[in-house]
Amino acid sequence: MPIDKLGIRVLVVDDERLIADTLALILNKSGFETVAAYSGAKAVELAEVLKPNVLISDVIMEGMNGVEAAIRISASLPGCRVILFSGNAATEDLLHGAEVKGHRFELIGKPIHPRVLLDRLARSPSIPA
Amino acid sequence: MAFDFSRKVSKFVFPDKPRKIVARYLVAVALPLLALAITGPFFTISTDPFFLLFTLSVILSALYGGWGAGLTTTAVSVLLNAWILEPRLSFQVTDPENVLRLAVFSFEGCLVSVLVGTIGSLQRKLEGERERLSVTLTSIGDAVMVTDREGRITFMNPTAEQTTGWSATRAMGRQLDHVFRIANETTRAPVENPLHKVFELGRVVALANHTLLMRPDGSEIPIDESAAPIRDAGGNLIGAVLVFRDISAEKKSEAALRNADKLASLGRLASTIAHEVNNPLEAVANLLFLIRGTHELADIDRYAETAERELQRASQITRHTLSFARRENEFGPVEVSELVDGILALYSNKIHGKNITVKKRCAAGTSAFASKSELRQVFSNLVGNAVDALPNDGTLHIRVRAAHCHCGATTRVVVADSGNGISAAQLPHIFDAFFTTKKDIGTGLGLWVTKQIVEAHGGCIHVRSRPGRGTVMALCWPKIAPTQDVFPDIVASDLAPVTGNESD
Ligand SMILES: Nc1ncnc2c1ncn2[C@@H]1O[C@H](COP(=O)(O)OP(=O)(O)O)[C@@H](O)[C@H]1O
Ligand SMILES: [Mg+2]
Repeated sequence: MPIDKLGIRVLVVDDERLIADTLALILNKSGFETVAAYSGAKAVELAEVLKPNVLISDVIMEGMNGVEAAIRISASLPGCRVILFSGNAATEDLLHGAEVKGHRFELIGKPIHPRVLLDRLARSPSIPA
Repeated sequence: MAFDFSRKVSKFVFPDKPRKIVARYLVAVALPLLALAITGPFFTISTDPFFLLFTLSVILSALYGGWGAGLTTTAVSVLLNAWILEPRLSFQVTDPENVLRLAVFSFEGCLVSVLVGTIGSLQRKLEGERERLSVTLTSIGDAVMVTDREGRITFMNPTAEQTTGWSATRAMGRQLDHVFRIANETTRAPVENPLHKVFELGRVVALANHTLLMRPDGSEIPIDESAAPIRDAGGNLIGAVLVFRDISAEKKSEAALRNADKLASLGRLASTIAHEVNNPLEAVANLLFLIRGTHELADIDRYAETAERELQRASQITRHTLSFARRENEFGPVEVSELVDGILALYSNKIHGKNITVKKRCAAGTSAFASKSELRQVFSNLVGNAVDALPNDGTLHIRVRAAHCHCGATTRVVVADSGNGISAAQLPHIFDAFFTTKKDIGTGLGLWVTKQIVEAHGGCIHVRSRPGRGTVMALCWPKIAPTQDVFPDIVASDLAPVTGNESD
């Protein structure tokens, strides 16, 4: 049964603008209501207004990193699904820190193919219908 | 060999230790008896006005047994003569002329004994001193070579034989330049023999390391050396002594540390690179996905163009990375500006992340005579440190220009940052191995290696820093290879194997 994508709001965060923009474009074309942010701080700010159902964020970013942003956002939006992507080994430590604080975030290795990301979004049961 | 023979004779006449007392006095008594046996039938002291044979026995006895033996021989000679002179077979001497002769002989005998005996004991002392010195120099762990004022080798110890690959017998008397050939470790240009400096300046000269000793068999050993003048009692320069040491072991551990730094910087780069390459790849994957879902030609065009640019970016990163890992150890002129660009590209992620402004000013055509990979390592360390020290929105200055430095180098490079600076207490230590203030991520090897590389190239490095204001690292590199005469060809006959008891 195809998942109804309408009304699912996604926040994409990456300090690499081109990646954030192209991902947002792809997700928008696939029917998700998507907004891109270029930094962790900006993401937290946008999340207040946007109230996204899904947060897709890069981990390693200057300033506030992805894990930090995810923790803050899920604190105010407990139902928000978090998917982190990273191409770095240091991520393990960051995620471990988050787990200790009681969070469980999905992690995808970089580079992610958009097909894989879409499949993931479709497959997951945690998306509210 | 004449030298050895005279030495042996001298050794026999003046042995190092006094001979056994029995032997000495047996000889002292036997010699005048022998003299009497020879002269008795023909003449005695009374008919031999020069007391020839008896005087000779006194001299020989004193030489052999010291002044005591000489005196004994004198006394025995007098007694024997008194016994043989009229009246025969009695110790009485009646002829006053003979009494006078005997008195003169006694006096002469005493004088000769004391003189010869004293010379003997002095000689023994001298020999002993020389022996002690030679034993010391022989057993010393460092290689020691001594030359005369003309630079000819007069002594070399076994360590010097082993290190140079020359046997002492072969090297003796040769010019030191011929036996002790040294070259700069990195440029391989011949280095002036420290001996010349010693003769010129008349004082101790220590050579900077980075010296290779070229052995006659073609092998090379890194050494550490110093030379000092030898003066006589009047203060005149009469020669020089050269002391050097094989430092291969130290060099090896230094090389290991240098590699560690290379690995550390490669490790740092690896994570940067993963990021730098993954980002464009991901962007390209996204763009291709968009292209497949689009029918708008204009959009496709735009996506394709962006993808192309991203791929170019990725390939640029990999190209610089490869050049970093490539071993380019040959020396040659290196375009500094170009090399710096490559390093900046590798750090671009960090630089953009911190929003660092890079101000690079390069005079056209500034080149350094260097090994490309080592120069790259130097700039990677300096730029890396500056980027580490810089806060967000800081500024990194890089200036390359021609200049004349007191070290003789001609290309000057300055890497300056407006970062946190270095405290006065830490400043003297930053070039030490393992000194780091970056707890987990620092190795403390970067600047240590940098200094080594720079100095090995014949350049110099200086730092100025103010805490809270920033740091300036200034380096000088020679623009061209230091030119010097090439070595004179080594002739085959010089290739003597080193053996302990080789004779010439
Ligand atoms: N540009 C700089 N600004 C401030 N401190 C510096 C700078 N360069 C070097 N340092 C100091 O010198 C130390 C040694 O540097 P280095 O030998 O490169 O080792 P590492 O970078 O691994 O610590 C650093 O830990 C830092 O404290
Ligand atoms: Mg460093």
